[in-house]
Amino acid sequence: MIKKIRLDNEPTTLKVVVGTHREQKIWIKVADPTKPNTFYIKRFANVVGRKAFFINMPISPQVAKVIVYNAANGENRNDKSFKVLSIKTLPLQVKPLMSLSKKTISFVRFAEEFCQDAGFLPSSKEGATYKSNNGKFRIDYFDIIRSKGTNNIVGTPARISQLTGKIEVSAKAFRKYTIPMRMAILMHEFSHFYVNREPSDESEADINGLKIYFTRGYPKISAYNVFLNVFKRSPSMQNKDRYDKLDSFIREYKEKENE
Amino acid sequence: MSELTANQKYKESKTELSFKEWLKNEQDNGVLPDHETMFNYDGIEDELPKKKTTKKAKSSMLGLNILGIVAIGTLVYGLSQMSNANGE
Repeated sequence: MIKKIRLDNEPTTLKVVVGTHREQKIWIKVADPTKPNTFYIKRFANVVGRKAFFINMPISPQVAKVIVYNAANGENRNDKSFKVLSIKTLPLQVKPLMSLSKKTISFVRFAEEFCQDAGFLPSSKEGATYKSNNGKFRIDYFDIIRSKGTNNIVGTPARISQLTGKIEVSAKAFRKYTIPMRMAILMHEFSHFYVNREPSDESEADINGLKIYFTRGYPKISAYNVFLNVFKRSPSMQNKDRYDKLDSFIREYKEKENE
Repeated sequence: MSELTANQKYKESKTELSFKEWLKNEQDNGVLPDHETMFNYDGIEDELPKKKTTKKAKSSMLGLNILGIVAIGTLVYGLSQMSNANGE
């Protein structure tokens, strides 16, 4: 099922209710039909009977394309194995974790603009430069990130200079990620240089980044997805420790949300 | 044994400087490599530039030695040819 929903660029929670007769793996994707590689969510769940999906969208397109399909059958318009019972737009409700500083708000604005367009913005071997309107923040968009020491290709989707705060992003990684996944990465990088007490501490950057990410209202599932996606390619004890810390942080946040 | 990372060296130094200030000082003083150090999202530290191996240095010295021997041989041969020609 594909349906276009008018959102007028407003912060929204989309409520999509799906029904099945027996257990089916149902995918939900929300895209901007006017921009390539621009997804606001890509997620699935095993549905038996009736299930409501809530999709938080602190930023949204003018018109969103909602795609729902059964993983077993692909994007088949006449699929009778499930039914979309309703799609509703609700106001986005967020329990902020912190009050954002002027500097953070300024970076978030720049990062959101970059993440909404990262699917098609030009990148290059030497890094195409994008700067915030106030000139304080800079992202160099590389086709792929290479080691500064050896010039070998490295697997990281992004990194930040310890000296200047300049962020480097891999287009190869970002083009396949959703907007919230891109935001989770950029908030982590921002935290290293601008928020952390100990700039080199990865776990501190994870938690500080997530505080900003959740304060803006981005989905928890995308935070998990991006960490798991990157960590599965770089398995290490350090990354296992990072995952455990962010998992307990997200669980605590969920509990606070439900209070 | 692997070399200590910049983060480990910073912690060991027990300096009162911030990491950024300490790193800049170390790079300015040539203690740490001056290529721009980055925090990678995947937590993997950047690779350092490859050092030239001793073996390679030895082989290039051998090349120079051979070149020297050939040059001296050619010079001796040339001089002997000249003295022969003068003697005729």
